[in-house]
Amino acid sequence: MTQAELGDRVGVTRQTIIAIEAQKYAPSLELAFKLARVFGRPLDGVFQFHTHD
Amino acid sequence: MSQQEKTAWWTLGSGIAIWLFLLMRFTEDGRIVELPAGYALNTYIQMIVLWIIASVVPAVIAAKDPQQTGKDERDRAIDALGDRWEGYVVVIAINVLIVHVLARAVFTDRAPSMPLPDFNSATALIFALLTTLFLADAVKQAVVLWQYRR
Repeated sequence: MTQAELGDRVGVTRQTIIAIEAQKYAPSLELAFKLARVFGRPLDGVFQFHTHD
Repeated sequence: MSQQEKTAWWTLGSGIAIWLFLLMRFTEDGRIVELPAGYALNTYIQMIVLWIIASVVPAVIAAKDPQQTGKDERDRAIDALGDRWEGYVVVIAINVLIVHVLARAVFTDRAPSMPLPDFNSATALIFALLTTLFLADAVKQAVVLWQYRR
């Protein structure tokens, strides 16, 4: 699946998918769930939250 | 480059061009000149017309490619950040103007040595307020472009 196709499926632009992949943009919870659903994985299977402690 | 980036570049460029037009009309040899009210009003109307044209152009270009016109959540977040910075610039600039006008009024004996223009002149005040708006918009577009390019 291309970045553009993924973007189309979750309703964002290809640039936003690129920014998420490059960790330059943190998606909203809604978008994160949509992305996880597209990949058929749980949310924490797609996104990890790292603390700096 | 996304449509939003192109629009930000266009808005930044056209904003600077329109401000230079104002600068040309309101100043002479680097100093703000007192304009007749009719001439100032004419210049203001011309500026509004130029601003409307500059705002319509990117919308018309974007309309030719409907897939590019929609904003997603990242575009809206970047817009919001730009708006916030625009607000900061307006608040700071207005307060600088207020302090300057008050300082001039309070320290009247030292006023001639103060470096900034005398805002008792309507022309200077109008130019300063319009410059504030253009500066704030330029900062907004710069923040938007920085966010897309970082």
